[in-house]
Amino acid sequence: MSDPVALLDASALVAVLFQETGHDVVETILDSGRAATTSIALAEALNVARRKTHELDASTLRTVFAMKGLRVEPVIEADAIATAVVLAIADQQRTTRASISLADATCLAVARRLDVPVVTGDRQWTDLSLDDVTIRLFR
Amino acid sequence: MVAVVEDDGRIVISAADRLMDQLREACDRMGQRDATADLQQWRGESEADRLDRLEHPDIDPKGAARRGRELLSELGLE
Repeated sequence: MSDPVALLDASALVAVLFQETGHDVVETILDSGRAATTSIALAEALNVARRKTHELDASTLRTVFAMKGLRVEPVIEADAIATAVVLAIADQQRTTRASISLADATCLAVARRLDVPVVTGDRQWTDLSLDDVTIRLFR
Repeated sequence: MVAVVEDDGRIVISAADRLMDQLREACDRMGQRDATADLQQWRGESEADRLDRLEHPDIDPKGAARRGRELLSELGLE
């Protein structure tokens, strides 16, 4: 498999699942065969699919993404340290609109390790000021 | 498991679920405000906020198409 060009966060996967605005952009990235996500972001997306009563179950949805060539990147020990740093920076920036979850922070940490931009629909992420991580909106 | 240094210098290995209680006790002893509850509350709010944003995304339709085109161009996927 080719190196990924982008790391999709949960909001990008949810956009595809529910055909939200911007889903066509995410699907173009998926069709390139060079999209990745994190195991945690995938779990987030599958959880949202269940909560919003998607017609397909989690196992089937995982297969759908796999057939689209989505690479699921594990979160490794080095990412744990980077995740803690991201959370610390977010803590320092609490006066801004920035409010990120643990899953968000791991996604940003993995993107940093892979040296690829994170693709998200969550505009709050753009309020974060992080070195070495590029955040791009798909809509 | 976590290691906690007691006042008399002893190092006590403790279950992680006691950590917050011990932090509060340490804050009390030092006369400092206990910030652990604030931190826990804020972290919990962050998780709930994120889930809410995933379920009910705040979409700006005006610039969405342009941002999408720019992203695909940047990734070399046009």
